[in-house]
Amino acid sequence: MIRLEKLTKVFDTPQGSVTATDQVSLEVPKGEICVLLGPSGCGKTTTMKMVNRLVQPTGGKIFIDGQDTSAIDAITLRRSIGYVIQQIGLFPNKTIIDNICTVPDLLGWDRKKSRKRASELLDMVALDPAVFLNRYPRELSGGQQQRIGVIRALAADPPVMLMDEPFGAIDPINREVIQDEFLRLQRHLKTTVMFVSHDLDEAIKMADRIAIFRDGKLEQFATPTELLAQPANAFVEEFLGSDRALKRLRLVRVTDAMDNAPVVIKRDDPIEAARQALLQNGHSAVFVVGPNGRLRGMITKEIAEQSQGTVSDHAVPVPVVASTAEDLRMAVASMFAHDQPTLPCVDESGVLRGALTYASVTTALKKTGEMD
Amino acid sequence: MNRHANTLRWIYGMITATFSGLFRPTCLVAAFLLGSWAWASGFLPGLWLYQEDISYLAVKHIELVAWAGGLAILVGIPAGILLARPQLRHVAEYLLQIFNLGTTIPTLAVLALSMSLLGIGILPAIFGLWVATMLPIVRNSYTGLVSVSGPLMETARGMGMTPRQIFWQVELPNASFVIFAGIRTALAICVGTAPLAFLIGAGGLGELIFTGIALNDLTMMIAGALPTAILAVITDFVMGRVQFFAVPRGINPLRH
Repeated sequence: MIRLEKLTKVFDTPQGSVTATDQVSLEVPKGEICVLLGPSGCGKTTTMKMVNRLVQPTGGKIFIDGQDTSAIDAITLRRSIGYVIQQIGLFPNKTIIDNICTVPDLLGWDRKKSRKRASELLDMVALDPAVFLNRYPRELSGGQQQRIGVIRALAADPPVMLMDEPFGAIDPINREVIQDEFLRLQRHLKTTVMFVSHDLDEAIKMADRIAIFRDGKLEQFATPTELLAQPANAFVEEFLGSDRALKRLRLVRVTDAMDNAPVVIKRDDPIEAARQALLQNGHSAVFVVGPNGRLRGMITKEIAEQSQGTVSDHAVPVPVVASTAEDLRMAVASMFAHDQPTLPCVDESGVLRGALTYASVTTALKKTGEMD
Repeated sequence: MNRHANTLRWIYGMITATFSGLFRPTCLVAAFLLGSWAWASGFLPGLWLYQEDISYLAVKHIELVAWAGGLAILVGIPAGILLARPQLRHVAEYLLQIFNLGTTIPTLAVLALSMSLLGIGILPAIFGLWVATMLPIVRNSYTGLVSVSGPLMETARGMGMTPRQIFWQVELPNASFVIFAGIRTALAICVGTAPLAFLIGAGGLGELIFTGIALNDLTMMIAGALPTAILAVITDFVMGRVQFFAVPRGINPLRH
């Protein structure tokens, strides 16, 4: 847990004093990721660097797991906090394993133990220890280096981790992969993370809570859903952009938005049944399921209106399905891409669980907006 | 135009010869022919006469270089380190400008100045050589240390290294290649300028060179110049080896 209490930093510059962080109070619960977000120069990085005292606070207090950090010596404090920056900063003179074990070595841990831990961590980010342990940083790609940067920060199992735009310099494709890997790692280790970013999409993806900064002041501190649904003021609203409703799509999972009781028909039902069902619910298609509820195909409105006979004679394959576990953004993209106004939602074994329609998406977004 | 083309063809020929199997035997034959000619013309037997002088003076020469170079390393590196400390960085550039001014003064003049201070003999020679040798070492130590990247220092600090640990584990290793490059240059300069020390009475291989010039005795001059050159090459080679092994592999461009 990280708690900031009226944290303030005033820099004295030749042009007079500048308040970089102004009376910021917030609390990041244990195991959560808090993203500090805002335009450049808004004080988010300064605020983060006060946590490990790379910047000395002018006023206010910082508590980690309830303990006032000003009572702890800076070196000891920093060794208990993971630190990752955008430029990675791997030590080029040290091998990958020595890099990862930097903090355990500073703490005087048993070498065997820390080396074993380093191998485990490498495994966790899908880098083969046998290949990478004895390499040097320059022999790795940017994405690989940042993976090492992240697990180096985690090597001594710090309860708290600070990250300063850690994925900012990585290409978009790799960035997604590394973000996902990090989220998995973080959920597994339950590290409390303070993460500086200027990228709203990244923040929405990574954060349990987002703190929006402007000119050193905390403008809003809320969960991503709440933030997008109810921006606290005009600045936040403008910062989030006019397409914030679309961004909310990624925060809702298909299973929470789908119509749970889609009309289904069996292969040997008459087409007439499909026609009736479509008239009733107004969807663009009904879905054909097998004996175990698995999705087999569909009858569209056009087919139902123009054909006679049984369903099995006229059913067509479904061009695209949504998985119940994915987020709405992907599902809605599929709906548009395949012109599929009624999108079947299946679980991992292919059983039809529901259907997504434009109306159900709208309802779900409205519901989550009100909930928070 | 045609001549250029010929030159290029000749260079190209040399390069292909280097890589063809004929290069080594050709070299050996050339060296043998050159050696035979040198012997037959009486040049080599003449050189042989100076054998005792050479070995005596070479030792003197090496002593001069070892003292001047050793002291330059011992003082130059700490001086560079000191200048690169954050507390001194703002004045460091000014100080180094003054030092640079020092390098523009010819070594001969430095030796003359040191003779006017300390008289003649080994001591002023070592002092003069030391001054001339130290500058590249100070300059490179300073440059190497200040060019260790900011983010690297920030992560080191952020991970909880003490200033001392940052110095030994991050700054010094990452500056080591540049520091060694400075030492290498400095020692090459030192060996090369040491013959001048003869002029203020410190002996060394300069004795043969300058006497050879004065007496218009080509053989005597070569007897001094050739060992000096060989010594410079050997010094550079040895320092190159040291640099190769002492600089950590991860930042050693020679071991990429």
